[in-house]
Amino acid sequence: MIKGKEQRGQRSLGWCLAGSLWVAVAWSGPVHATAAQEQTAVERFPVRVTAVIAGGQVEIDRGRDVRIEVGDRVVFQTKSGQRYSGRVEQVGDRQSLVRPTDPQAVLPLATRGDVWVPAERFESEAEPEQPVVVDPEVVPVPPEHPPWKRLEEEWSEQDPLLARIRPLRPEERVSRQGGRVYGIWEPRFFSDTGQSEWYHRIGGEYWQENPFGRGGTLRIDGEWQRWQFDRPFADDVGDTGLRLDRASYVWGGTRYERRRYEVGRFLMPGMPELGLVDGVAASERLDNGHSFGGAIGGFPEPDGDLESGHDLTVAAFYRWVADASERWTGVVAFQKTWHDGSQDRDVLVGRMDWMPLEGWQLHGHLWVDLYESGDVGKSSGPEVTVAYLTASRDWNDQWGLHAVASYRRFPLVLRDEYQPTAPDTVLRDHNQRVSLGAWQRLDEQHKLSARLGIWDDEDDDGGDVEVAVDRTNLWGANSRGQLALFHNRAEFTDLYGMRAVYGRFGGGTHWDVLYEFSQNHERGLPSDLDAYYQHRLRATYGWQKAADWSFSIIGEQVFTDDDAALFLGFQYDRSF
Amino acid sequence: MAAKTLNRTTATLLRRLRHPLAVVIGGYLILAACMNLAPPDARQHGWWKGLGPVMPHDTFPADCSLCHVGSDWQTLRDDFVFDHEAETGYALDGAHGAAQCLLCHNDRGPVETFAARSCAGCHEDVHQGFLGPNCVECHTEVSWRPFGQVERHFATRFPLIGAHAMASCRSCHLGAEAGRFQPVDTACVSCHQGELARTANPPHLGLGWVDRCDRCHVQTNWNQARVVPE
Repeated sequence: MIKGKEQRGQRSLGWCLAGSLWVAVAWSGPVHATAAQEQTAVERFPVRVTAVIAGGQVEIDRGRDVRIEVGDRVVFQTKSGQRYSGRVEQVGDRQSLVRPTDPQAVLPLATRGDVWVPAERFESEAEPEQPVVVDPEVVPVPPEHPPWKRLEEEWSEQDPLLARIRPLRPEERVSRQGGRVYGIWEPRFFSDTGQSEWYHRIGGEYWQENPFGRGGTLRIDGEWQRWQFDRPFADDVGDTGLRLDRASYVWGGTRYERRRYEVGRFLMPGMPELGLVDGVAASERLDNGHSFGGAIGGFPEPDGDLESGHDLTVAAFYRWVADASERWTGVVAFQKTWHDGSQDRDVLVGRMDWMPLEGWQLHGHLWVDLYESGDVGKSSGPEVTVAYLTASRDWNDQWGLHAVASYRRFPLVLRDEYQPTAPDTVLRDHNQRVSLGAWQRLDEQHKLSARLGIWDDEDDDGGDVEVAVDRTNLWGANSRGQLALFHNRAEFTDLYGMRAVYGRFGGGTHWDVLYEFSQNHERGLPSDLDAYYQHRLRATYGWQKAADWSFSIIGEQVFTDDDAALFLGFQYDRSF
Repeated sequence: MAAKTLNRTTATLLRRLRHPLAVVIGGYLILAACMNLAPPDARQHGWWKGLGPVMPHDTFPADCSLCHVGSDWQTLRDDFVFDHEAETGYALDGAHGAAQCLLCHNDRGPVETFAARSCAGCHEDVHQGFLGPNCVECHTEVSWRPFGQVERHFATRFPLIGAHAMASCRSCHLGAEAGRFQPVDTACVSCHQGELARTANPPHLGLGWVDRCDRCHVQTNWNQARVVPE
């Protein structure tokens, strides 16, 4: 026993000594490393493999231009992530030959790397040069560049790419085309009524540049759809239709042509808020980057089939930009519409974007309807119908804030723009909402986020709050999990709930599963009858092949104390 | 008007068909055929002399053969790759990774200007400003199929409960198929006018029960009221 104790004591002493030595080495390690770095300060330059030489050497695209000398160290990293080092054996003006330390290393063309050059080789350059005093009246200032001897028009297709040459104008280029096609199938089943809904959608986008040799672009977007509701309590209903989202030809508006024209069906250029137009639009960019323009034509109703023929529109806009970067812009537009020959809506729309690289980013838009004395229920004059302002900022990707304020009410319009609403609804309804969100990265894997919103409308008020924790690389690489708690005091319910999401992505596929639970209290009902619980399950899977093919499938079910509903969705998409 | 005429023609044809499902399947087959007929020369870095010279190469590697074949400046190597993130600091994820270079680098002007406007620099806002400027709240770069609409509705005054969570967006928002999400009045009868009119036991219309459905019903069950009004 005593011997055993002694052995354990010696072993403990050994561990203590070893631990102390480890701490000492760990403590002193950085000091030695720092000292070594101070002795051999280096500059690092990115390089690339430009040739593979027989015998194991590779050529890199740097040489004496960055003070490389024989014996300098180069570290390569292949696309698969493997790292190889090597030493410079020969140096040229703009290339060097490197022999990898590992003779088995495979370094394909374009492999990246870094060459380590002692900083002392650049010290002589750092010494300030003595300024040369020149009398401008005595010595003429030479031109920045000798005058070009060749005219732009002398360019031919066989000239070198880097020559100062005249780019081909859009109308001189060969025609090319592209687009995408997609299909969507979405069935839904509801246990409450026994109704099932079926949606089939097939659509696509197509564009062709310079189709007529005049430099313009032809664009056609559309979708064919069929929906059918099978209803046990009434006759089945369904419909089929073709929706044309866009069919337009646009020319100009390039760096060579400041005027831009568009004919056909298109979203109002520069001001999509004003909706689709079946007609013609023109705009012009000024020397200072500002632009102005207008459009006239039919005004398709913004429903599922975009029916045109009842409405006409005339609109004009002016776009202001602070500078060439266009990070601060403002647009003001005016739109006038007619419905079945009667004057309908006069609206002013303003939009502002402030998107600096650093700092707060702001976006806002404002709609002001202008009513006249004949507009029943509205006093003549301006009335704000939409106001929206959002501001966001993040600090070094460590934490951020996001705020939104919105206000909306129905405008008084003749055309079928909104779901059938009673006149009283149009006059009374309004809602406004303010929300503030914040997030903070707790460490490399965890992120905490929270959101708080409050709202009020013509009848009620309420708010919502949600707190969530995200974790990346949860149960494996390329995965993400989220746990969220939320509460909402809504129009008809007070609810509390939680949501858990887990998903993985990478390798051209992604999937996730979601479970959500909420306890709901219907407002206005007796307290013994107002509660019910809801569960929601969702699973999604997406697959992408060669980046131009994608396929996704989704299954989602919600079930409560009283009913259940199921949604399935399939979508495939191909770009060409 | 052409679309309207085509709509009517298609609808008439389908009404006369006994099996609309066959038409749907046929449509999908046609779509699949179209996909297989997509132009083969749609390579991401596709380039040919008819397009003329491209942007300055000042910062490119000194060895032209990394990208070009032989002495032909107009043809790129088959194995040409360009690490957009490393070279420009701007990663091309998802579908952007396969987009043709000229979709962004083209005659409109400096691409930096358009990139500064975020998604709206290149993609038209088909939602016409109604859903805000932050596209990535609902879309990813892999697919334009939106995600998380039910979760996002929890941040409104009308969270989607029961069947509402599974209903198609177009059931409430006219024009949702075309990307237009019109504001909707949250009163039940705004969407459930049909149910109100059909209900015969008890006859709601006859009894004057034409609004405030929430006094008797919860959102998960129309067929059975939780409270019977006196």
